[in-house]
Amino acid sequence: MATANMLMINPLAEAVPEQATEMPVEIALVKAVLEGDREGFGRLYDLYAPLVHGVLLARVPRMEVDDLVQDIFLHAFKKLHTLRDGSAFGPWIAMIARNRAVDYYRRSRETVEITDEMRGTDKQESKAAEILELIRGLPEAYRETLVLRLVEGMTGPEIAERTGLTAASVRVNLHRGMKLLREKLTLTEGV
Amino acid sequence: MNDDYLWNKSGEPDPQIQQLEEILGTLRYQPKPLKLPEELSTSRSRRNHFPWLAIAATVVMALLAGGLWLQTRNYDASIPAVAIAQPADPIIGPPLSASTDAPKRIKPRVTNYDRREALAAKQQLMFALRLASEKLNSAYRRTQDKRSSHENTLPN
Amino acid sequence: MKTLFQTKLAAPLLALLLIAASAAATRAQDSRLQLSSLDHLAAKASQSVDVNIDERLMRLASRVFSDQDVEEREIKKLVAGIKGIYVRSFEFENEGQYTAADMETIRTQLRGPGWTRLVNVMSKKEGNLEVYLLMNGETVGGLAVLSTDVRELTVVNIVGPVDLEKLAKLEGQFGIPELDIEPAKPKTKNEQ
Repeated sequence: MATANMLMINPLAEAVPEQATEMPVEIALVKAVLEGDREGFGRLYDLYAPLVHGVLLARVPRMEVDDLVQDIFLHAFKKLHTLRDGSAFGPWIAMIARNRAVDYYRRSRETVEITDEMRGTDKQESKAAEILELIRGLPEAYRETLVLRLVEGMTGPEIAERTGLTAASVRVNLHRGMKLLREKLTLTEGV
Repeated sequence: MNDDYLWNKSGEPDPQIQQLEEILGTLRYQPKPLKLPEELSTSRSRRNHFPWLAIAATVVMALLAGGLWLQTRNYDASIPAVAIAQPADPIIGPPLSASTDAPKRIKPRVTNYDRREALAAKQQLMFALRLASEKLNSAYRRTQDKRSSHENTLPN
Repeated sequence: MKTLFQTKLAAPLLALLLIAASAAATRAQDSRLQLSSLDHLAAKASQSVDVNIDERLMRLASRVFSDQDVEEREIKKLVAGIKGIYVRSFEFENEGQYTAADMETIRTQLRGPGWTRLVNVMSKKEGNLEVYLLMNGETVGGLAVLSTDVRELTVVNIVGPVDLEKLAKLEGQFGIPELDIEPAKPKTKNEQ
């Protein structure tokens, strides 16, 4: 028992980010934006662009990601009034990003192949693109979490806070995703 | 396998994960300015149920006072009747533009404790459903694979 | 006198029949599995997941699903009749950390009345996967999924009526639809 890493999902232990002590900054920012403060939205953009970038990178071709990030935030700005709870901005915009990724594939059904321009001439970049493709081949729940951790550099607790997932779910996703990725890397190294 | 490093970068660094971070970090988001067109604005008129609730309440009270009962009840889903049904969405946080004329809710708000428990239960539920869905689809795919490989081995 | 004897006998017999019928009905409808026999595996597992959402928590969770969000609306509909969801999942560092006997305690329950095994896929590479349904007449009254690998054991038990097709689609709704099993969409004008 002492050596086991138990992930007991306790309903009372794993909860939303603490609101008892401090109001999340997102609530204040969303309120400000709705009252006309456009700069407040810039702040939200700075805070959540890496999250949106990671969510998209796990799903759509790399060259499309930057434009889509901008589109998503413009869309979020127009629809911000539909967000009932400012503290849910992160999960909300992550969902918009996932839906946009779905739309991307609905509109363009051509198969995405790794081309030389995607690989880049740099060896490191080429390797990065290959590993990203391996991650994209993993189940959806794992690939997003792994991209946020390994590409965007977020920690597990940060991923949980930004996406609204419980820490336990994120931890499981990271652990299992990493395990599968290691297996894939072992296979490709053998080729 | 201790996955503390994977989880929150603490403890003994895992060399393979470090290597992956170094390689994949080249794909990381590079800050770019957000260009909000001047003509773009967020709507300040939040969808607000309260005026509709007040109207609905007035209508219902007037009908009841007149002793008229609706034989067939046809409720427009966007105009919930306060006296009969509860609102479709529980308000989790305080609405940004609460009207002081809003009619009182029949049910009390979800307490903070309930809310935390409910949100945690929701996450667990989503996780469990996702896992079940994943396994079902895996079963489907694998039975399809087996079927097609069996068909391919059948003699002509 | 004869009537009195018959009356005296009839009442206990009737009671017995009612109890038996009730028990049979309960057995037939109760799709909740007892998973506590697996709890000892947590001590050996490197990672374990334990989810217990009973009817009360299901109702509580449903209250915070948003009707504005399309996906959450669909999930809320899916779980409307579900009475509970229970998961035990263990991952082990090494092989041989759980035995066939551990799984047998679960399978024994799934051989009970009403349960039918829908799928049984066995693979050395991908592990074994079994899907069971509890049928109440023509309605699904419960679902159980058993997934085993050399280093992993997962049991998912859903209690109550569940729409399998909608449940399977959920995986896609959390992100990009699984393109290889996506149902055929009508061709757009451009594609025709």
